[in-house]
Amino acid sequence: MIDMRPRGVTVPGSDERLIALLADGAPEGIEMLYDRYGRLAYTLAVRVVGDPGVAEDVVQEAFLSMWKRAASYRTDRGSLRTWLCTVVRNRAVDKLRGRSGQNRSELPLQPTSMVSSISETWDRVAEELERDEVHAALLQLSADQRQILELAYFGGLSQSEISTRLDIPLGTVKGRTRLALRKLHSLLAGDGVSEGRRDDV
Amino acid sequence: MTCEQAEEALAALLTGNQPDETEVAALRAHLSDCGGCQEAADGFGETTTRMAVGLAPVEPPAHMRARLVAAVSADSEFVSAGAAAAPPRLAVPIRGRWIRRSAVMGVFAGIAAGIGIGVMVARPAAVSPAGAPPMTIAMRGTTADPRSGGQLVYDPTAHRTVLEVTGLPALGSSGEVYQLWLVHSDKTVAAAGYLTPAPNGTMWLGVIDGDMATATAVAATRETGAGLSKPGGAEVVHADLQLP
Repeated sequence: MIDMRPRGVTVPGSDERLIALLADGAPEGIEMLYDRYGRLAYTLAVRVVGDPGVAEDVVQEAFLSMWKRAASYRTDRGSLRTWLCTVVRNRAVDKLRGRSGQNRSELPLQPTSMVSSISETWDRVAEELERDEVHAALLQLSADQRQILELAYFGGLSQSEISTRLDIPLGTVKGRTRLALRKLHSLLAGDGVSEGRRDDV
Repeated sequence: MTCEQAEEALAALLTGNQPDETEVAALRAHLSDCGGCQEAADGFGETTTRMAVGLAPVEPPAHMRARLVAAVSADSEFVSAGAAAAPPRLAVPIRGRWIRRSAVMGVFAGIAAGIGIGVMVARPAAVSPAGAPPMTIAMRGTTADPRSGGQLVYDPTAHRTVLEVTGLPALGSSGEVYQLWLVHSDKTVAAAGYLTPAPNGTMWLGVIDGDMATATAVAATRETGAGLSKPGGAEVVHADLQLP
């Protein structure tokens, strides 16, 4: 079986130093945060809001917010990268709702063909490896499961809105979201998928 | 709440839904007693993050980093440990320039400590010593570009200067740049990077790394190409850092 466990991108030790710098209010902390995660944040923001200019504002606000709140960050609540993605995604959805309500893009998760062909550093190589793993795992979800995660996470739709959009019961949306996330988690953790019999929800 | 209900609530939460108070309370109670669901909570959070990692990367524009650094530097909460007790930044005029009160006080304190006197005569924005709070200095347009202006913020602890300039016309598409220069007390001039456009279309941003102790002025010129070692184009904006 292919080892799907994450490799490379997040280095806990260096994130600890980064968190310490941010918590101290050191200006190099925000620069280090940007250098490490700026591209990921911008990519996520562009994917949600679909507008490079708005995405730039989202990233700016998200990073400033993290810089101001870093002292209250707790490592036991998740990785720095997860915190960053949560802040960026939530701000992006806020912008989206404030700007145009339900007028959201519904592009599929992009395949790796758009990834730059030559990596200049190992970090980039590690990112590409992880991206390949994530992409492979997403392809193992059913189309319905991918769609529901897409609409919820990148489209910013609530489960009620998804229910209306797809014309399926709210209970089905809830169950499908849970199973999709569980299956993706299992695939990425390299545990295999034990709940396949329930995938038809 | 059953484990299945808890997972549904977690999945909803992590994909951006906001459960009601009752559901949150029930989820908290369940997680406190259920190791398996607590583990799922941690894992699901990382999984949604990895969905973002799976996106084909989009390179952010080059000016984004400078814009962020400028915002941090300009933020009123940007205080290093040595500057924590600095008074609020209020603009006060000194010999025709507007600089912030904290900068004035920092400069005065630094100079007074250095030469052992307590009575000072107002001076222009002399560069403050390491440990002093960040200082803001006005930049003014020149005869070539009288509508331009802005400010620079110098952090003597981090040895970093962030510039925000407005009123500059757009550059042509033939490789033109706004080049930054540092003028030193020995009259030498050194290239110090470029101004980059902010996304709002009205501001230009620049960052200069390094100790400004020997610098007497910062200037920007409009050049026909990048990579010059000496200024050749018209000066468009200027800031004096200390009296000759």
